[in-house]
Amino acid sequence: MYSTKNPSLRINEADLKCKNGCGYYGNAEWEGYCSKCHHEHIQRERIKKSGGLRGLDHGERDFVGDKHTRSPVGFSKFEEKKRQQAEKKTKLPKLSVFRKSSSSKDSSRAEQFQELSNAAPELEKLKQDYHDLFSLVSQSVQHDVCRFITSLNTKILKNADLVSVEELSEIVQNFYQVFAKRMEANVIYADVSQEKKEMLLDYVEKYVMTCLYTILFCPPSTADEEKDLSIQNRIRQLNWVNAQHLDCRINETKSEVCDLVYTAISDMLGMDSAKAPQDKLNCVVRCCRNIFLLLQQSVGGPASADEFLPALIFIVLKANPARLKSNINYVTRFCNASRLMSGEGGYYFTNLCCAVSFIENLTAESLNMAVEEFEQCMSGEVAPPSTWESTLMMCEGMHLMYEQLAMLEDMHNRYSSFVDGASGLKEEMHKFKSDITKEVALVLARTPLTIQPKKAPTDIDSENPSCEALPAPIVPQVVARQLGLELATVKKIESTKDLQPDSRASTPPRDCFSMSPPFGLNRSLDELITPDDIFAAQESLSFVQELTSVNYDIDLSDLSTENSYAEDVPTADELRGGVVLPLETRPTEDLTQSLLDTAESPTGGLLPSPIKPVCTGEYQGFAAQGCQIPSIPCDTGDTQSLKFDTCGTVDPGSSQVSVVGETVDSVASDGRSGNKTEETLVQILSGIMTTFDTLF
Amino acid sequence: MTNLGSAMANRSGAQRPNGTQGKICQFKLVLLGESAVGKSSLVLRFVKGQFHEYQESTIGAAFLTQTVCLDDTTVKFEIWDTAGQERYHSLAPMYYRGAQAAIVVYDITNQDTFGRAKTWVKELQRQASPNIVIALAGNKADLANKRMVEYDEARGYAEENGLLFMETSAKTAMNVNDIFLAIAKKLPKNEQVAGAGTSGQGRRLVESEGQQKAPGNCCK
Repeated sequence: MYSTKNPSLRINEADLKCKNGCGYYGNAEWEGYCSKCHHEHIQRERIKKSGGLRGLDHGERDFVGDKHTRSPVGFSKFEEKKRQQAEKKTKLPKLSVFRKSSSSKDSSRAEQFQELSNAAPELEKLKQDYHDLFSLVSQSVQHDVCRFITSLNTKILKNADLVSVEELSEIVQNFYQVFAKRMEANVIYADVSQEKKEMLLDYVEKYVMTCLYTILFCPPSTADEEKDLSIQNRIRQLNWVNAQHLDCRINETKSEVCDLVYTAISDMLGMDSAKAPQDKLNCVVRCCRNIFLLLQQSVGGPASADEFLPALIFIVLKANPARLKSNINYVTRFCNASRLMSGEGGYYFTNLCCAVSFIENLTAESLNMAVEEFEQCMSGEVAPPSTWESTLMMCEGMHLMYEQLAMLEDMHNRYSSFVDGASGLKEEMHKFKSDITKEVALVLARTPLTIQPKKAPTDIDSENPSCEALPAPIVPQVVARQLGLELATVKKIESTKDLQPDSRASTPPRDCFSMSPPFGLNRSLDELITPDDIFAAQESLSFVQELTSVNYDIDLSDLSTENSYAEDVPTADELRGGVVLPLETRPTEDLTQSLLDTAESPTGGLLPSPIKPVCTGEYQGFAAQGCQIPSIPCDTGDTQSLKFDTCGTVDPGSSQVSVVGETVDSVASDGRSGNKTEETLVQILSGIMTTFDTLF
Repeated sequence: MTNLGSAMANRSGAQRPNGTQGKICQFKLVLLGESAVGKSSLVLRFVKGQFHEYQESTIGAAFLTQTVCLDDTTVKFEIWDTAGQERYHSLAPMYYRGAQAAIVVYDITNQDTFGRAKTWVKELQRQASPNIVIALAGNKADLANKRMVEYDEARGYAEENGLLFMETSAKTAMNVNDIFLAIAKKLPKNEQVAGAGTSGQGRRLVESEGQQKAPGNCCK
């Protein structure tokens, strides 16, 4: 659309140079030559002209035939044409002399007609369009129409070169009237309806005009093309004129209005590509209807001519249709006159002619401008701000913006999908990582069993049974220091037993001490390896305190599990073996197990006998312990004590209970005293540890 | 539409089908006058019966057609509106070329428009086809309290120049149909005189007859 407005853009610098290629700039007035070459060219032309009319005539015919295929672009071409035109004017009177003699020309014209009718693809389309119509009318009508068309064609071709365009126009208009009258009067058209007659006339007009378009449109004998160029230049000069200048109420900023303006402009430009006059007229009608539509948007009601004409002028100015004058003249000459004088098409065409006339005669006054300002604008010195131009620019900008926005959005979408994918991948990786760590942790939790062997020291620890020989000397140390008095009293009673008396007698208070050293040994040995074992040692201490309320069996199992705390199954087994065995099989051997023996003793047959003295001893012990008696938590203890009082040697079960109660008592009392002795215990333990340290 | 319909019905007798008998005449009528005197309003009132209540179908008021029945003749008006601005004055001949009738409109509340109307009349008498029927319409008669152009003054001028004269109001529909009817009556019903492109006249009419939307406006 824009390119058609600026044909100057198609001229590059090479076109401006002299056609001879001498290096100087050429001039349109000199047919594209520089002054010197043009002079020579003129001389040559004069010689050529005198060469003979016949040859020239032929050349011209060719030119006419070719004209349609060749696009008349560029100044040189136009100049060439102009020249031939001028020649023709001088030649015409002479040609009439040749007319009668050239009978061969008629045949050539018939050929030309054939050529024309065969060449045009539009004709085929036209035939198809009107196929339905012809299938509805009789054969005679068809023949008659064809006859008319052929006669008109030959007539026009015969006269094309001989008479002026106005005369040709007269012939065509007369033909239309004759054909219309024939349709009214002739019998063969009697049963054809008015509408079909109208269509037949339309068909004839379209067919003939499409056939002869190349001859009748912008014939070289007229100044149409010059006028085309002058109006084109004029419109180009007036490209600064905007809607405000014309009092045109086009709301250029509205996008719908803008679209309609574009549509109207393209309709207007489409006029040049149509061939039949009616088609050209239809283009104008379409354009004008679009103008009314856009005015309806701007005005807010049906637009009157007051608004329509300025809008049409504006559209013509902005469209700058190609060959505007040629088209208008062609339609005026060869369109059925009745169509132009009346009807919507006629009205709009008249408006178009008015618009063109207005543009041609446009003055400062007609734009309500000062003459100086108008002159400045025309010369291009001043360019008034044009809404249309800015709108165009803005539209272009907007288009670009929208395009880029769309691109951005696309990129954004892609980016977000990419980010989504990346985050998904990240999450997966995280999950994978955590899974792996979990698995590794699991495996690690399982594998330490295999790794553990590294803790060789713990294994060494488990060998403590061999070191158990050592605690024995320790026990006396402790007993001697702290419970000497008590032991002395107890010893007196328990002296009956050979091995056990010491341990046995010292059980209540000493047990904890005698017990603790071996445990302490274990612990202390552990402690050498890990600091955790310190805690375990403390635990064992507290465990000793807790013994008051817990059965020994369970405590022992606890201990055994505490042994297994080393997590070394085989060593634990070893330990257990080490622990359990002394409990049952060698109760006498181990000092530590002596306590356990007492717990298990009820089963053993040997034990009941020692119980008896215990009873008595215990009773004494109770007395000796004094204040500690009331703290016995179990009520059975009371009853049993009563029992003991009455029947000292009743049954082993009761004695067993008494033994348990006794041990519990002793432990409980020990726990109390243990509170005080805790510190010392720890000291001892640490002492043991250090001794072991030194040992190892 | 209803206003117009009833007004027509009052004056006319029973309707009769179009195109069955009688002559069909088509006339080109040009509207001239300063802008904003209400040319298009007048036409819209005559053709569509509308005033400021535009239907969607009415996209333009520049070119409209309306048919009236007159005795045994069907008169079809093809109304060409012209741009009233001073700057387009010189283009007017292209519009009234070949026109059989013209209505020169002025605004009774504006003396200037009456002056312009006089120049139009003069121009038409000098340049248009010699037997053109010219009507002078003083529009906006509903605004009589703001009247600037006296009825008698205009009437006198019209009589001097052999013009049809009516004061009209597109708003109240006063005299709108009457002025068109008066023109239709005055126009020569001889087809040869009426048609510019005589051969095409009959065909065109039949074609447009089919498009006629308001048979209610057709009157005897």
